[in-house]
Amino acid sequence: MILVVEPDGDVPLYQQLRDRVVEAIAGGELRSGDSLPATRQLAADLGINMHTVNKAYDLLRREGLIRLGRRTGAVVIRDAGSGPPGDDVAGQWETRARTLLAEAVAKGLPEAEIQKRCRAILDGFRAGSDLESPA
Amino acid sequence: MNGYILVSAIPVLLIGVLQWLRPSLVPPTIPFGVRIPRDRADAPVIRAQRRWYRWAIAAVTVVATAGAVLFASPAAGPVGVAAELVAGVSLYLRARRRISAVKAEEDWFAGRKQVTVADTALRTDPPRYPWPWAVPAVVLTAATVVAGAADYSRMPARLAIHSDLAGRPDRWAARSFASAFGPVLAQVAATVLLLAIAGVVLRSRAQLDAEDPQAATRHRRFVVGSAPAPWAA
Repeated sequence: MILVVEPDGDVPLYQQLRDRVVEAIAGGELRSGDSLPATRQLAADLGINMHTVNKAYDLLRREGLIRLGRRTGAVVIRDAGSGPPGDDVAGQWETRARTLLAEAVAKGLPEAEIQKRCRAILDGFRAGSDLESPA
Repeated sequence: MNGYILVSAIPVLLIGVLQWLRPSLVPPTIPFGVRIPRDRADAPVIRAQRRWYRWAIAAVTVVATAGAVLFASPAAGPVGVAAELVAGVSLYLRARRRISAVKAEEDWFAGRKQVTVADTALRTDPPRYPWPWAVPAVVLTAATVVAGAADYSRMPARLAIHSDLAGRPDRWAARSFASAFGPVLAQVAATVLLLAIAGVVLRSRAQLDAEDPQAATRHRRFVVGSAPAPWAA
């Protein structure tokens, strides 16, 4: 997985890292059972602080997407194919999706356009997870 | 051809060729050590500086090599190499300064985002150490050790440990483990060092180009993947 972050961007680095990993899982680049690099190593490769990577991994762990083991390191424990989501996932996600959709509506994006874009994004994720068969 | 000429001219020529190759050995986005956007890789100033550098290095190399051949003395080689290195560094810095100046003046990075890139697969599924490449060096070293051990008892009591430029031995040592196997130990040390360097380089931070992050990964996999497998013929 190619990880690109923007050190001078508006979004905090740990949030960017977390977002990229979530997107990679959705797109099938990372699957349940795949490892993520050790904190120290990823920090060195990206030239960022180790605590930033720690924070991102911790966020992913609390969201139930990865497991952090002393010996195994960070391992992805769920992807689109790991069965139904937890009880609170849909509700929490809706709250945030609501804000994003509200932004689009408030800024005048037509509803059809919003739907088309959402569709395209979802199709992109599905295409990735279908094409990349597990090695 | 006498020994002096060979010993002095070959290093001078070799250093010259390496310096001439230098602009081709770096990624196109870091000409002469200046970080530039990919679409500027062919900028007129870069092409001009590269051409100038190569011509100047070629001229310096020809003069230094000719000098080493003409003044067939032991000092000709080192002096030639030193002159080449000084000229090479100054020419490099000159090209670097010119490119930097144009880059700053035209603000090549204006309106671009700075990103940093990592390929997690290089860590979670690292390329294997290409051991097959090490086979010739290891076999050669082992063969030297075996040959030396087998012939040890037949070696003369006094061993030549140094020769002058004309190839006449000028220093001697009594036969002992150290004098007989010293060169082999140096060979073993050099082999181990080079193999270790290859390992460190393989694990070191990959130089990924943010504008084409797959390129470096492809290259790394190619280098490792193209290792020959002599036993799998």
